[in-house]
Amino acid sequence: MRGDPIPENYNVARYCGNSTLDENGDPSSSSFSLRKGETYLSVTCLELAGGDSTLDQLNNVRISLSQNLNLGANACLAILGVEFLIKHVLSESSDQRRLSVLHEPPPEPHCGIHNIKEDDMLVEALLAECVSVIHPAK
Amino acid sequence: MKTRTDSFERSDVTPTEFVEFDRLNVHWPQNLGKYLETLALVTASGSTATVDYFRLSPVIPILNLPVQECPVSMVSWDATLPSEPLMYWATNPKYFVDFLSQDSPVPLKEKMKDRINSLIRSFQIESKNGESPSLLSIRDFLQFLSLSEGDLIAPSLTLSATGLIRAEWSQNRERIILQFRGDEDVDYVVFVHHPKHRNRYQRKSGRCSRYCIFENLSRNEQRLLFSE
Repeated sequence: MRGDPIPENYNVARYCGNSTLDENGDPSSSSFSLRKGETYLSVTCLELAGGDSTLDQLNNVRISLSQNLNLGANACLAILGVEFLIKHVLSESSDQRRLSVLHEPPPEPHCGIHNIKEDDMLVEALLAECVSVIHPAK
Repeated sequence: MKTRTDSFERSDVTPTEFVEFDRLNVHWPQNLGKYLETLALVTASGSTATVDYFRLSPVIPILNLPVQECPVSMVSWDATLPSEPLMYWATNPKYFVDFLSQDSPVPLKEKMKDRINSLIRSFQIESKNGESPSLLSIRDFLQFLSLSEGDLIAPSLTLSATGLIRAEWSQNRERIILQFRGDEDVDYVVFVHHPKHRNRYQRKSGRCSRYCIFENLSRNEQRLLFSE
């Protein structure tokens, strides 16, 4: 249900457009920046996407994302562990920021990372440090 | 000079970016027209200003550009508009980068040009309405390169979701990120090792004028930006 927290042992995928990736194709702080008017960072929960294997989960994430986005050929999905991202930002941000990862409106795997402000480059840079692995978006 | 006083449709406006005439603090050469497609005259609601008003400008006659008039309500513009009529260049972003790179040639600018043009293309493809990134942000970055000429290391460039250019210098997990806001201000983030505790990081962030960036960075931090 919207607003419910995502279990901390779950993982989320952030769609990173090509213009936010560095020259090596790795996510940067830009990959975690909010668009104008956004109040949370959109992510997709792997475990809620369904599927028995990570491969199935990733494919379901791609299907879910493609309903609203034209997935770019060079874009990627950055995977972050919920527990790690919360702890990392809490311990390393100058204001001990406590992020929360919550359910957002359907489709089901859609979630949001909350408590990021606009132009919050330090937190965005810390989130980029939390990426455990990247996969092609397409 | 060809003029058109009828309003043009929103669809005519979106593929290009309007750059506010007075905010571009660069020297305009005679061949500027090569880099611009049209000169758009954006008038505030209820304004009585006409194209004739702007013909008085000493710059316009040498450009020989078509002039279009369009009411503010038809322009997708995210900045606060003053009440007076404004004049904007409508330009293809690629030409704009070419122009600024040639304005005061610096080897690093030339090196960064292809990357910036590639980022602009990606951003336009990825944005829902084909928007361009902030050209004023790119202008500020390129002018920063001119100011800091010397042994500045080429940064890694990306674009934020709002189309602002970010430059990142990193070495061994230490890094400095600058975001050029397009209003001459810069957001900065610095992650460096603690001088006494190498396994600890010092982190700081803030906003300053692009002319004061180096005053906000210690010598220990500045070493990330320059080659020895």
